[in-house]
Amino acid sequence: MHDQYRQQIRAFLMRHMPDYELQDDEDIFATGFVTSLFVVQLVLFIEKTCHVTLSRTDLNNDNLRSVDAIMALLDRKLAAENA
Amino acid sequence: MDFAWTRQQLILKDSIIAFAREQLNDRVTERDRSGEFSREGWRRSADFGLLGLTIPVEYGGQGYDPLTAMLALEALGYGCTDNGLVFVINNHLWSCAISILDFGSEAQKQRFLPPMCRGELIGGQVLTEPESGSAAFTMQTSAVRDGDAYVLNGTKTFLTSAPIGDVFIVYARTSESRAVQEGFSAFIVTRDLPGLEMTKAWDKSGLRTAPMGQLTFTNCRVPVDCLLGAEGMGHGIFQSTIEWERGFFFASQVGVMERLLDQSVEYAQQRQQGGKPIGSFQSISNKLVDMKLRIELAKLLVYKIGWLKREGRMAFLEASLAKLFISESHVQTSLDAIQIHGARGYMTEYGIERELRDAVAGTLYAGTSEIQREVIASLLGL
Repeated sequence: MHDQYRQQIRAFLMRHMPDYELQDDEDIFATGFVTSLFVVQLVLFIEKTCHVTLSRTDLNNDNLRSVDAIMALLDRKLAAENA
Repeated sequence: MDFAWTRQQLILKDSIIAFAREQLNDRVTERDRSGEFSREGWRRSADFGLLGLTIPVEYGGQGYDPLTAMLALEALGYGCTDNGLVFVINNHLWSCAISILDFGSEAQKQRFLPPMCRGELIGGQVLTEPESGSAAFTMQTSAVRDGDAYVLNGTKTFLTSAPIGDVFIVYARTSESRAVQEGFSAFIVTRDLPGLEMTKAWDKSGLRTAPMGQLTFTNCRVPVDCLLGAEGMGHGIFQSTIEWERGFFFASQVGVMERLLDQSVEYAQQRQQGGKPIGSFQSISNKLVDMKLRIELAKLLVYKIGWLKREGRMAFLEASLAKLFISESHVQTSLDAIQIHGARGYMTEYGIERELRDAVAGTLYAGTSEIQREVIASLLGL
C-alpha cells in the first residue's frame, strides 16, 4: 500500500508539472510549477486517496516539500491512526 | 457529523438575539445614511462577550468551540439589523484575532488578544492592493529586514475598519525569489507606527456603517517581534485565515436571511389584496418557500464547517462552497423580500432595501463569486 500511495502521489504531482521529471527528494516549491492553491489541491488528493485526515498543523511546507516528505508525513499519520 | 444543539447552545442563541435587538439596533437607518460606525454598539458587543467568541478564556475570550460560534454568529445576524457592525465584528474576529491566536507567539497573544476581546482594540486585515485584488499574492508591498525591524513600503486598499482600526494583520512580500508559498510574511501592525497613514476613506453602496479605507506604508519600521509566525509563512497564514473568513463571516448572513424570511412571512400573512392575504397567492408563497430552502441549505454548509473546525480539520473547499452559495442566496433573498413588500420594500425607512445593498458586498469580499467558482473548479481537478 505504501508503494502504491507513493506512485499515486507522484503521478498527481507530475500531472501539475508537464514535461518535467520530478525526483522524489526534489523541492516541489522550487520547481516553479506550484500555484497558490496547489497545497490545498494536494492535501485534498492525499486525504481522498490515502483515507487519512490532515489537520492544519500538518500543512507546513516542510511536510509537503517533496514526495519523500509527503510519504514521511503519511507514514506518521497512518501509524498514529493504527496505534 | 453531529449538529444537534444542546440546551445551553440554544439559550446562548436566544440571549444573543435578545441582546442584539435591545442594544444594537438604534438609529440604523440614520447611521447608514451618514456612514457612521456605532462605537456604542461595539462597546456593548465587547461587554456581552461577542468580540472573543472562540478566543480562549485565558486570553479574555469566551472559549466557545467553532460550532457554537457559528450558532452565535447566526444569532447575531438574526437579531442585529446593523449589518455593518456585524461585519466589523466578524472582520475583527476572523481576519485578525484568530490569526494571532493560531500563529502568534505567547507574548503576541498576551499583548493583543485581551484588549481585542475587551473591545479596546479594533482588529482588521491588510491584504488587497490597488493592482492586486482577487490575485492577492501578486502584491507589491515589500518588507525588508533592517536590524531589529522590517521596513514596509506599499499601498493597501479596500480595507474594512482602516479608518477605525487599531491593529492589523498586514501581508507583504519578504522575498522576490522564493515561491508564493514562501515569499510572503504576515505582520501585526499597530496604527501608531510612524510611516503608516490612512490615505483615503471609501464611501460605498452597502455596509455603510462599516468604515473602509486605504493605508499607505512609507518606510514604516515594524519591530521584528511583530512578525506573525516565521518569515515566509504569510501564504500559509492567509490560507488558514481565509477558511475562517469564508466560513464564519457568512454564518451571520444565514441569520439575516432567516430574519428577512420571518419578516416576509409575517407581512404576507397580514397584507391583504383582493380580500385575501398576499401569502395565499402562489407567486408570493413560492418565493417564501425558496427563501426557506436556501436558509436550510446554508445552515448545513456553515454547520459542517463549524464541525470540521471543531475537529481540527481543514475546511477550505467547504468554506468556498458556503461563501459562494450563501452570498448569492443572500442577494436573492433580499430581492425576494423587497418584491414581497412591494413599495414598502423599496422605501428607505422600512430598512429592507438596505439589506439588499448590504448583501451585494458578500459576493465581492473575501473573494468574488467568480473567484470562488475558479477555486472550486481547481479543487475538483479542472
